[in-house]
Amino acid sequence: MIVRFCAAAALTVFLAAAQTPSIHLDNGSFRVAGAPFDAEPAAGWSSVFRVYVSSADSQPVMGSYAVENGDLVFHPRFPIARVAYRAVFAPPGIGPIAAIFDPPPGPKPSTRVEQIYPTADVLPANALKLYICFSAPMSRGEAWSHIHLLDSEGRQVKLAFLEIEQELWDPDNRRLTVLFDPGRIKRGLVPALQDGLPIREGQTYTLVVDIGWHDGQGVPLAEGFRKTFRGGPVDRDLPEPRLWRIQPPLGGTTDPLVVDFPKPMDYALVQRMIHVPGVDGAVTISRNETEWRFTPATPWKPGSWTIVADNALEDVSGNRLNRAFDVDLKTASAAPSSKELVIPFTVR
Amino acid sequence: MLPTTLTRGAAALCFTAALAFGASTTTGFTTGNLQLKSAGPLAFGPDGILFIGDSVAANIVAVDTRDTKPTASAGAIDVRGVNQKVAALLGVAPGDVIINDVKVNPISKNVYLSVSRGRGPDAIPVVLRLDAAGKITEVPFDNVPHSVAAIPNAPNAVPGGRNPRLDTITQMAYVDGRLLVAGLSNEEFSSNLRTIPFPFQSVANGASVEIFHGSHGRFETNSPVRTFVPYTIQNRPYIVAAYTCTPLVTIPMSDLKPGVKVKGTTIAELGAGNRPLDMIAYKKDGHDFILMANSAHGVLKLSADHLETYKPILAQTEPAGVPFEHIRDLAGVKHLTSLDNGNALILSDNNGTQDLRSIPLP
Repeated sequence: MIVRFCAAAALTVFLAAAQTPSIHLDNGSFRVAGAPFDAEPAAGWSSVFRVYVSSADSQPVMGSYAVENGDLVFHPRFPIARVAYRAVFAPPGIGPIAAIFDPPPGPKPSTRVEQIYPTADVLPANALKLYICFSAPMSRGEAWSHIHLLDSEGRQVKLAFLEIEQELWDPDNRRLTVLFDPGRIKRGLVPALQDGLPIREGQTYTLVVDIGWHDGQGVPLAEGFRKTFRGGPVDRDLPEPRLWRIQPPLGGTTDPLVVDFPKPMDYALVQRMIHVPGVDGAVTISRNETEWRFTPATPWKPGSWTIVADNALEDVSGNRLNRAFDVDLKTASAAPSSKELVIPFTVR
Repeated sequence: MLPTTLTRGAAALCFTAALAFGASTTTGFTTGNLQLKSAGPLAFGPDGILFIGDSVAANIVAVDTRDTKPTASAGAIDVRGVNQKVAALLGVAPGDVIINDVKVNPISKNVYLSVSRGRGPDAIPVVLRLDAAGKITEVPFDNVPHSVAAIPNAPNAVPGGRNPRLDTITQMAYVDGRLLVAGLSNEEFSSNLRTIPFPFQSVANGASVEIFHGSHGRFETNSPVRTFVPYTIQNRPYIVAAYTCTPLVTIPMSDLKPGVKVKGTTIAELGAGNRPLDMIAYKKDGHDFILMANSAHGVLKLSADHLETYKPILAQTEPAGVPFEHIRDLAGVKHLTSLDNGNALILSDNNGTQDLRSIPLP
C-alpha cells in the first residue's frame, strides 16, 4: 500500500482504521502509529522502518529511532528538505506500508541581480574583477553556467573568467566576486599570448546573468540581468592619490567629506580601505565608484585631520596605490613599502 | 583503460603521513562540539588528525579522528554515483549536495569527504567517512577533541554590520609541524599562502606570505597560489604550486616566512584556459612523478625527477618546462588524492553523476 501526502498539509492523516499501522510526518520526524512496538528487532528498528528520499531507492536517510508514546519514530539526522520522502514500514508478517510525503510548493521566484560592479559603461581592457550583487542569498556551485560574456554579435567570449569551483562568495551568498582570468591579463604568460585580453578596447560586450541561476532556496531568479559595456584602454597606471580631489566639510556640520578619484576604484575595497582616524561615520560610494563620501556620526570639529588610505586599495584593474597589478620591472620604480598613505585636510 | 603493466609498491612521497609526535600532537586540544559553518578543503596531519578548512567561519579546525588503526594498503574503491548516495543518506535531492574535498587518512586508509548539505547560506557542513567495506558514516562533530586556528580577517567596513570579505581556502597540506593553507580573497587580489604551526598556538596563528610571479623575467604580479603539493628536491622541502594565472612553480619551504618576498620558479606552463585542480606526488619504479588534475587538460603526469635541473622558464610561446603526458583515460576528475603506495583516489564527474574510485598510479 502506498499513500501520498503533501508534507505541509497532511501531517496527521491516518492511512486507514485505527488498528491499521499508519505513517505520519510530524514536526520533521516520521512516525508509525497503530502497531505494537514492544521490543526492538534483533536487526534494529531500521529493519522494519526506513525513510528514503523518494528518488533514491537503496540508500535510506540517516537518522535515529525511538519509541515515543507507543509509536515508532524516525528522527532524520538533518532537518527535512524540500524533497519528496518515502517512508516504508515493513514488519514481519504484514505487507509493507509506504507513504510518500511530497514537499510543500516552493516560493515563487523573487531574487534578482541588484547591481554589477564596476557600474561604469566603459571597463579597461584589463579589468580584473566584477562583483555581482543579489537581492537575496544564492546557491553555490552553479555560477559558471549562468554567467555569460557576449561580444557585440552575441557570441560567447570563451574563457574570459577564472572559473573557480569554490566560487568567491561573501558569507551570505549575496555577492559573488568574478575574476577575469589573470593569466590573460598578466603580460607574458601563455594564456595572454594565445588568447589575449578577455576584453578588447573599442568592442562592446554584454555581461548576462541568466534566469536559470537558483537562489539559496533553490528557486530560479525572477529575471535575468544584462550589463552592456565597452572596452576601454588598458590601465596599468597606479591610482595616483595626488590626483584625488578632496572636498573638506565645514566645521560644526555633518556634511560629508568627499574624495573624488580620477578613475573608478574597486567597489569592495574602496568602502573599507579609506578612513578618517578618530571619526566614526558612514561611507557611501557613488558616481561609478569614483566618489567616496564619508558622513560623520557627530559634527566635524575645526582643525587638522587626516585621510588614511590602505596601499592595498585597488582600481578596477587591480592596480594598487603603491604597486601596479603587473609591474614592469624594467621601468617601475621601487614601490613605497609603507602600508598606508596619509593625506591631511583641514576642517574650517 | 589504464595501463595494466604498472607495478605497485613504490614508496609514495607522503608528507601527511603520521609522524611520531606522541602526546604532543593534541597539545591544546579541548573536547567539545565543533562549530563549523562550512566544510571545505581537508588535510591529514600526524596521528589521524584531520584538518577541516572552514572558509565561512574563517577557521581551520583540527580534529582528533582517533582513526589510527594502521592499514598498509587500501582495497579497491569503486563507489559509482557517490554524490547521489551521499544525498540520499543526508535526506536531500542529489543536486543539493556538494562534495567539497576528498582525502584519505594515511594511517587507516579510510576515505574522508567534506560535504555541503544544501547550496544556500544555510547549507549544513558534514564530514563523512567511507570505510574499506564501502560503508559511509558521519564523522561526529559533538564531543570530540579538537583545536581551532582562526584566519585573521580584514576589519569590517561597517562596524557591527555584515562583513562581506571572505578568504576562500582552496588547498591545505600538513608538512613537518606546519599546516600550509592557500586561499583566495573575494576582494583584494593578493597572495595568501599561510603557514600555521601545528599544534595550533593560542596566539600566533601563522602568517600570510607574499608570493610573486614573474614572467619574461620582466613582469611581476602578486600571485595567489591556488593549489600545491609538498615536494622534496635535493633533500630540501619545497612546494610545487599552481598560481591562479596558470604556471607551475617551485617554492622552497624555507622561503615561506613573513616579510620575505617569495618568487616561485616557473617549471611548467600548461597552456591557456586551464586550471590545475589537485596534485599528488609519488614515486614509481625509482622515478618521481606529479599527477595533476586539471579543468581543461584532464589528468597530467609530470616527470619530476631532479626538478632542480630545469632551467626556470623566463620566456615562452607555448607550453614548456617539465615534460608531461596526458592520462587520456581519466576524464572529469575533480579531486585527486593519494590512497596508498600504489594507488590514487579520484572523484570524477560525468554530467552530474560523481564516481569515487581508486586507480593504479600511472
